[in-house]
Amino acid sequence: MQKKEKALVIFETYKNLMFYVANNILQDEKLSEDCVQETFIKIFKNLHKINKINCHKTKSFIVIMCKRTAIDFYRENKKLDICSFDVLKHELSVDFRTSKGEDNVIKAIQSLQYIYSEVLKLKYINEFSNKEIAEVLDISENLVRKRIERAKTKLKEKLIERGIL
Amino acid sequence: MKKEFNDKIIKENLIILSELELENIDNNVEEHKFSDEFNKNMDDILSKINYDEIENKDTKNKKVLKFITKKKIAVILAMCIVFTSALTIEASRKFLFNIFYNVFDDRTEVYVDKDKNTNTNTKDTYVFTFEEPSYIPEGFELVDKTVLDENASVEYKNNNKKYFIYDKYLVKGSSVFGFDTEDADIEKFTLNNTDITCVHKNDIYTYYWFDDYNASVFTTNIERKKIRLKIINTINLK
Repeated sequence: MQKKEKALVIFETYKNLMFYVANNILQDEKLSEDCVQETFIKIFKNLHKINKINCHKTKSFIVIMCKRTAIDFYRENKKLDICSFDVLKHELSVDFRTSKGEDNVIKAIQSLQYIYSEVLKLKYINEFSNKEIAEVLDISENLVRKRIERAKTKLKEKLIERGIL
Repeated sequence: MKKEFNDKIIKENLIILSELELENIDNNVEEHKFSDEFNKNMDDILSKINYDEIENKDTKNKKVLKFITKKKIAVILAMCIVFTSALTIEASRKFLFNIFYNVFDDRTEVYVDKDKNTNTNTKDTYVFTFEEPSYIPEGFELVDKTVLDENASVEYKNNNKKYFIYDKYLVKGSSVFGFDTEDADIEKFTLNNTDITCVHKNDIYTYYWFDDYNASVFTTNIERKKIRLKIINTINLK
């Protein structure tokens, strides 16, 4: 598939999903459209990181990119003083009811702050290197390493607290 | 039954969580009628973006990375700073470090080892403490704080995407800290009798230093040196 065709298919496949993710955070349709546009530009720059379009890995990557962009938009738009970021970051994890029972490891991961679950997903689901994560999140490789380290430490703490470890 | 904590467990559960989250999103996504402005902008982006240029840039980067890997220079600088001066001045210190620098083309790794001549059990004699910077520039807000038994960190940000992160780690056995030093400016200086190294690259300043028990790293993208040093100066360095 040619690059242009690939970009078009990604756009058509995920534009509604991205709008939903962005609008869930920003609560503003115009701003959410801007966010979707900005996210697509970032995705196109990382097009080589996407091999298969319709798969869980790609969808997860796109959702992460979109959430990250929406958070940045949120920070930049002071007028959107809906709630403090501390409140917001806890609302970013989608609440779900699992039919697979209450798995404490999953709940512990879900209770991590978004900045931590974000890097863990990119590392373990998308199998990106620290350098690649740094590129897509536009942060330093050093910061990625620290966040992964902290995420694992916090997760371990939570699992010990819950008596799982 | 107690579970093991390893990468496999994290990965398996992250995948399950992610699948559930995406399923939840899928169930709620509706067709959105995008504005004419959005459609026009996206048409422009999709038709004008130069994919070949992006692809070429990626290929070039991959080649460069491969080259760097091959050219890797192992273990050059090194050896045992050991805080020898500290030893002679203050012989009562119970914990000393050996510090090794592994300098590669694209990064520097700092290995910190507990001195094998020191038999004292650090955990028994030293209690890890964490002192936050007492000076926080105006507009910065705490976005993350973690204080554990052997490491701690705080992260502050402001609305202009400026941030600073202060991490402190108790050094037990061996630890390694990696710094991206390719084309970076490196400055060494002394503040409050503490030797500090600053790595400056791509508008990010990483300061690191050691005391008798701990390694500390301060990372920021604040441009003004005066502000950066003012924050560091309010951390209890020793």
